[in-house]
Amino acid sequence: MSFDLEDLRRTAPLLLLSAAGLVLLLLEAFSRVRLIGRHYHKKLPPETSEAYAVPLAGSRTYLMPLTVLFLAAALGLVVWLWPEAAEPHYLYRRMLVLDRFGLLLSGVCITAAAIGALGAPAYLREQRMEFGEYYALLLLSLAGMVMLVSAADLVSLLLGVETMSLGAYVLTGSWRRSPRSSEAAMKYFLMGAFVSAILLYGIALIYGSTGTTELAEVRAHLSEMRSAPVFYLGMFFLLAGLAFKIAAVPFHMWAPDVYEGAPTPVTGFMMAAVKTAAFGGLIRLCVGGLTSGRVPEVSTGPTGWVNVLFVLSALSMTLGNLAALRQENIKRLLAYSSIAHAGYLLVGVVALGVVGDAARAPLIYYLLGYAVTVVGAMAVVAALAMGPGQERLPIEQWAGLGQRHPAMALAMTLFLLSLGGFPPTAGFFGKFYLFRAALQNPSLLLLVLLAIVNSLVSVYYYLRIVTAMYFRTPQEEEVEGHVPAAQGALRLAVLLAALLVLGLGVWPGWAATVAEAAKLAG
Amino acid sequence: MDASFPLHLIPLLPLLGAIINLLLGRRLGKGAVALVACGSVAAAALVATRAVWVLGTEGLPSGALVDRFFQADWIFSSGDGLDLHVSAGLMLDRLSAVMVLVVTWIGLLIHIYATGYMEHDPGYHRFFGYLNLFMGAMLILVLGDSLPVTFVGWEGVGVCSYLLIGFWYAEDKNATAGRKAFIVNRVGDFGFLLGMCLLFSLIGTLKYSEIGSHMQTLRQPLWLGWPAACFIALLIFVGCTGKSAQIPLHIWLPDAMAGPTPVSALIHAATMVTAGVYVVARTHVLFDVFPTSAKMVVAGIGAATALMAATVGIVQRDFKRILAYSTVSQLGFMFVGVGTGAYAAGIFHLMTHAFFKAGLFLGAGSVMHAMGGEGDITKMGGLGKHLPVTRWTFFIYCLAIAGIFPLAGFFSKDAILAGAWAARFQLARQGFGPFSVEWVQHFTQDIYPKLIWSLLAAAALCTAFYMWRLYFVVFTGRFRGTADQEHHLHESPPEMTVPLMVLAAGSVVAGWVGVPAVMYHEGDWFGAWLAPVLPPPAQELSHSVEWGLMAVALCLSVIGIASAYLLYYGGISEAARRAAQILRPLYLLLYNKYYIDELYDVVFVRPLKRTAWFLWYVVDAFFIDKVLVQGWAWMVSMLGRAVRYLQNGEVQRYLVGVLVGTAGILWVTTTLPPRRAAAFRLSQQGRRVTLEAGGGSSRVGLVYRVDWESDGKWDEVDTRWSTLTHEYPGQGTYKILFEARDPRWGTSSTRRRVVHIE
Repeated sequence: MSFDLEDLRRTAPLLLLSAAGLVLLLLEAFSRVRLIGRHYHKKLPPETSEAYAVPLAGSRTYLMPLTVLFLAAALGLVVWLWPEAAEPHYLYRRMLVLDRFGLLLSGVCITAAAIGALGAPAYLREQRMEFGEYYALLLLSLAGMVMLVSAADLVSLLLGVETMSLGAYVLTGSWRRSPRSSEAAMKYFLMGAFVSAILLYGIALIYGSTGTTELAEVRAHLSEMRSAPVFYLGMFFLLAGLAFKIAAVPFHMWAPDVYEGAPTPVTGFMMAAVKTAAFGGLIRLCVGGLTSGRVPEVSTGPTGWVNVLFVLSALSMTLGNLAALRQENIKRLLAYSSIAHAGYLLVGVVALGVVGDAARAPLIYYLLGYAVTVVGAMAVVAALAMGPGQERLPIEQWAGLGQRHPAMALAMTLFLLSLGGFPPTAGFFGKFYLFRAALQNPSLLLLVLLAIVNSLVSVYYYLRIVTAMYFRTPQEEEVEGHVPAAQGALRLAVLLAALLVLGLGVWPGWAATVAEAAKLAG
Repeated sequence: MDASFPLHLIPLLPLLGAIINLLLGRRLGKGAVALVACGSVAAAALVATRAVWVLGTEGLPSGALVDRFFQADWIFSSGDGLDLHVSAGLMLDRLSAVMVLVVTWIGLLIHIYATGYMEHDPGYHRFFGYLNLFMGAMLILVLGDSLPVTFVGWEGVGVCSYLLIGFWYAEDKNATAGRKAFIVNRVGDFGFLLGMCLLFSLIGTLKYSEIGSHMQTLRQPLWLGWPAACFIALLIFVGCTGKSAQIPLHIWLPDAMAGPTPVSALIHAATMVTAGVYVVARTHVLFDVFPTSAKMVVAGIGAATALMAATVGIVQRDFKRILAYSTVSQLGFMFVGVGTGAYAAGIFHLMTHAFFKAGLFLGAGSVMHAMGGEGDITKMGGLGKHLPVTRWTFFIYCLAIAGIFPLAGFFSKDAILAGAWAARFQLARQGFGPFSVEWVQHFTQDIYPKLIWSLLAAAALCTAFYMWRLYFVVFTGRFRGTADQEHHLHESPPEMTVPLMVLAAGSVVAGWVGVPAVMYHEGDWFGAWLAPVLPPPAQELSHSVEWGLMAVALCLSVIGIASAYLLYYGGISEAARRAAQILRPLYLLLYNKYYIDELYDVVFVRPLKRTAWFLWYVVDAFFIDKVLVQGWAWMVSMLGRAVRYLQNGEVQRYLVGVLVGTAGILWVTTTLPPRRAAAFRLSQQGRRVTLEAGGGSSRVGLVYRVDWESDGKWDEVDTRWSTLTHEYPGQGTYKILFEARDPRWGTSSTRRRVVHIE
C-alpha cells in the first residue's frame, strides 16, 4: 500500500472543492472594498450601524455564480466517479475510501449547498452583510464534509469533522452587526471545541485498546474487545461527539441558539449539509468500524452502540417535538424540528445495526429528502424578510402570506408538509421506507411506534405555520415601500428545492434505486 | 411486438397548458388563454392520432405501443416476499386507441365551444386551466398500463370534476353539488382501491399485460367457494359504479349539472363518466372468469340503471337534468354491453354516445346562453325560429339517441341489445337452497339475459319519448318565457355553432364503422378493430333473430317519438297535463327520482351526521381538546419549564448537559443490562424449579450466580446459560438469590425470590 497518483483522481471532488475555496478566498482578498460610514444605513437603528468595510455596490456579484459553477463541477465529478465506485477503492494509505455511499452523500451535501448558495446573495444584500468570505468558507466546509463521509480512518473522520465545523463556526458569526449571530458563533465554537476534545479522547482510547485507528482494522479487532471497558469508553465518547454534530438529545442544546442566530442561508446549510455529513460519519463509524457479525456484543449487546443510539433516538424525537410545539420563532421551531428529525434518522441507524444493510437505502433517501426540504424552507425564510435587518421570524408575522406572496407560501407549505411526512412529498416516502425497514425486526416496534406518534404530534406545529399563512389576516404591515428580496436566484433556489421535494415524493422509485446502489465499503 | 412511441406527450401537453393557464392565466389575457388551452389539446389530439396511426399500420393487431420514457420504477417497496414494483408506464393498444381519439377530439371541440360560452366569465383562465388539467388526467387514465397509473388519472379526473362542478362556488348550491360528487365518488374509489390491494396481494403485479398470465391463481376459490377474480372484479366494479353513476351511486351526476355546460358535456357526458366502462373492458379477464357472477351483476345493475334513469327523465323539467338522467341511462346501456360479454358493443356505444350526448349538452348550453341562463323547459318553447342551427343539430342528436336508422345510436344500441339477447351467463354448477342445478342454469342462461333485454328495450322506448318530449317542448310551439327574454333570443356565435355542426355530422356517421354483419358482410369494422384485444361475444345469433331484434328496437323508438309528438308537439298539451294528474302518485315518484336521495339521507347521511356530531362534541371537543390537548399542554409547559432551566443560553450549562449526557449513556448502558437480567422468572414443577434470566437479547456477556437456599454460598456460577433448573431435596420454604454481573464494568444487580416446595 503506497501513495498512488490514481488517488488524486479518485478524490477529485474533494480537491476541487478545496481549491475552489482557496480561489474564492483570493478573489475576495484582492477585490476593492470601501469603508462605509453611518450614512449608508439610514434605515437601521444608529447603534447597529457603525463604520465597516462593505463592498462597492454591485461589485463581486460574480462570486455566487462562480461558487455555483464550482459546485456544479464538483457534482459533475461525483457523477463521473460513480461507475468507478461500484467497487470500493481505498485511498491515501487507507485514510479515505471511494465508494458509492460516500459519493452519494457528498452529492447530497453539494446539492444542498448549491441550492443554499443560489439564495444567499439576495439575503446577504438585503441584510447588509455582504461578507465576501462567505462562499469560500462554504466550499471549505463542504470539503470537510466530503472528507467526513468518505473517511476510512478515525483520523480522517476527525479531520473531516473539524474542517466542516471550522467553516460552520465562522459562517455562523458572519453577521457581524447582529449580537445574536456573534453569540451563536461563540457558543457553537466553545461547545464544538469541547466536543472535539471528547471525540479525540475517544479516538485515543480506541487506538489505545486496539492499536489502530483504521475503521476496518478496528472491526477486525472487535473480538478481542468483547470485554475491554476502555474500548467501550472510547466508543461512547465517539458516539457522544458525533451525536453533538447531529444535534441529538442530550447533546442538542447548542442547536436552537445557533440555528436561530446564524444568518438564514447558513442555518439552511447547517441543517441540511452538516447534518447529512455528520450522519455519514456516524454510519461509517458504526457500520464500518463497530459492527461485526461474529461479535454481536459491540453492536447489539447490552453495552453496544445500538442501545445507546436507541435511547438517543427516543429522546431526540420526543423532546425535540415537545419543545417545537411551543416555539413562536420560525427558525427556532425548525431548529427543534431538526432535532426531532435527528431522532427519526437515528431510528435508521439503529435499524442498520439490527436489521443490517436493508436500512441503508431508506436512510440515505431520508437524508436526501430532509436536506432539500430544509434548505428550501430556509430559502423561503430568507426570501420573506420584513425589511433591512428585520427577518420575518415570529409566526404571527407569517399571517396572510398566502395572499401576499402566493408562490412563496405555496413552496413553504410544500416544505412543511414534507417535514410532517405528508404525501406526495419527499418526507412521506422517507418516513415510509425508513420505518418499514426498521420494522423488519420486531424489537424495534416500540421505537417505530414512538416515531409515528411523534410525527403525528409534529404535524401540529408544521400546520400552525400553514394555517397562519392561509387562514389568518395579516397583523402588521411590512416596512413601507419594502420589496422582499425574493427575486432571481433566490426564487430559483426555492423552485429547485420545491421541485426536488415534489419529485422525490411523486417519483420515489428513482431515488430509492440510486440509494439502493450506494453501497458501503467493507 | 410492442413498439415504442413517446406517448407521454399526449397527457403532458394539456397538463402543461393547465400549468400555464393556472399560474400565468390572469396576466395572459383571454385570447392567449384560449390559444394555450385549445392549442395544447389540439397538439395532444394530433400526437394521439399519429400514435393510433402507427399502432394501426405498424404494430401487430394484439400488440401495443409503450412509452420507454417512464420504464423505471415509479414506486417500489420490497419485503415480506411481495415486491411492489410500479412503473408509471403508458400503453396504447386498440382499446385505449378508441378512447384516446374520443377524448382528445371531442375534448378539442368542447374546448373551442367553451371559448365562446365562457366569454364573459371572470374566471376564464381558471376554467380553462381546470379543463386542461382534466384532459391531462383523463388521458393518463386511458393510457395507463397498470391499475395504479389508471387510478392516478381516475382520482385526477375526480378532482377536476369536483373543481368544475363547483366552478361558480359563490353559490352554495354549486359547492354542495361538487362536494356530493366528490364524496359519492370516494365511496366507489374505496372499492377500486380494495380491489387493487386484493389483486396485488394475490399475484404481486398490477400491470394489465401481466394479469392474464396469473389466471391460474385468480381462479382459486377465495371465499365461500367463489374465485378470487370475482371479488376483485366486483370491487373494481364498485369503483366504476361511482365514477360512471350507476345504481346505487348514481345520485351525484344529476346534481353535477351545476357546473358550466361545457363541463357537463365533456366530463359528465362524453368522457369521465365512461371511464368505468373502459376500466371494466380493460380488466375483462377478471370478469370473464367462470362463474361469471361478476358479469351478471354488471349487466343487471346496468339494465336496472338504464330503465330507472330513463323513467325519471320523462318527467323532469330542467333541461340539463333531463340530459343528465339520459346520460345515466345510456351508461347503463354500456354496462350491459360489457357485462354481457359484448365488450366491443359497449365500447362502440361509448364512442357514438360521446358524439350525440356532447352535442346535446352543447345544444343545451346554446339554448341556455340565448335564454340568459334559464334552464326550465316549461319556460321555453318555439325556440326553433330563433336558433336555427341549434335546433337542427339538436334534431339530429335526438334522432341519433333515439336509435333511428341510419344514425349512430341505432347501430350501437342494436349491438348492445343483440348482445344482451344472446348472452349466456355461467353460474357455479350447483343449486342454491330450494333451486336445483337445472333451474339455476335455466335462469342464468335463458331467463336472465331476456330479462335484461326487456329492461333495456323499455329503457329505449322511454329514451325516445323523453328526448323528443324535450325537443318538442323547447323548439316548437309558442314562447312561454318573459318578453324580455324573448327580446334577447339570438343564435350563438360561430365558435359555438361550428362544434355543434361537427358533432352532428359525427352523430350521423359515427355508427357506420360498426354496421352489423347481417346488413353488410364486412360492415362491423369497429368490432374487427377491437377483436384482438377484447374477446368477441361467445354466442352468435341467427340472422332472422337479429333482424327481428332490430325491427323491434326501431319500432319502439318510433312509438316513443310518435307518442311524444302527440303529447308535446307545439307545447305541453292538455292530454299530457291530464295524464300527469291521473297518474299523480307515479308522476311524483318519478319526479322525485324514486326518493333515492331522501332514502340515502335517512339511511346514511343523518346517522353519519349524528356520528359526526358525537365525534365532534364528545370525542373531539371534550376528550381530545379538553383532556388530551390541554393535558398535553400542561405537561409540555411543565417540561418546558425544566427545559428552559437548562436551555437558558448559558454555554456552561449546555456543556454540563453534554457531560451529563455522556455520563448518562455510560451509567444506563452499564447498569441497566445486569439489572434487567437479574429480574428473573421462575417456574415450578413439583420439586423442580426452573429459573430464567430476564433482559432478552441484552444478557449476552453477563456472568450469573445463583444461591438456591440463601445460605450465603453461591451454588452455581456461569457465563453462558440463561435458564437453570434445580431440584430441591425436601419440603420447605426457600429463598433464591440471583445475581447478574457485567464483568467489563463490575456492575451487578441482585434479586431475591421465595419458593414453597410441598
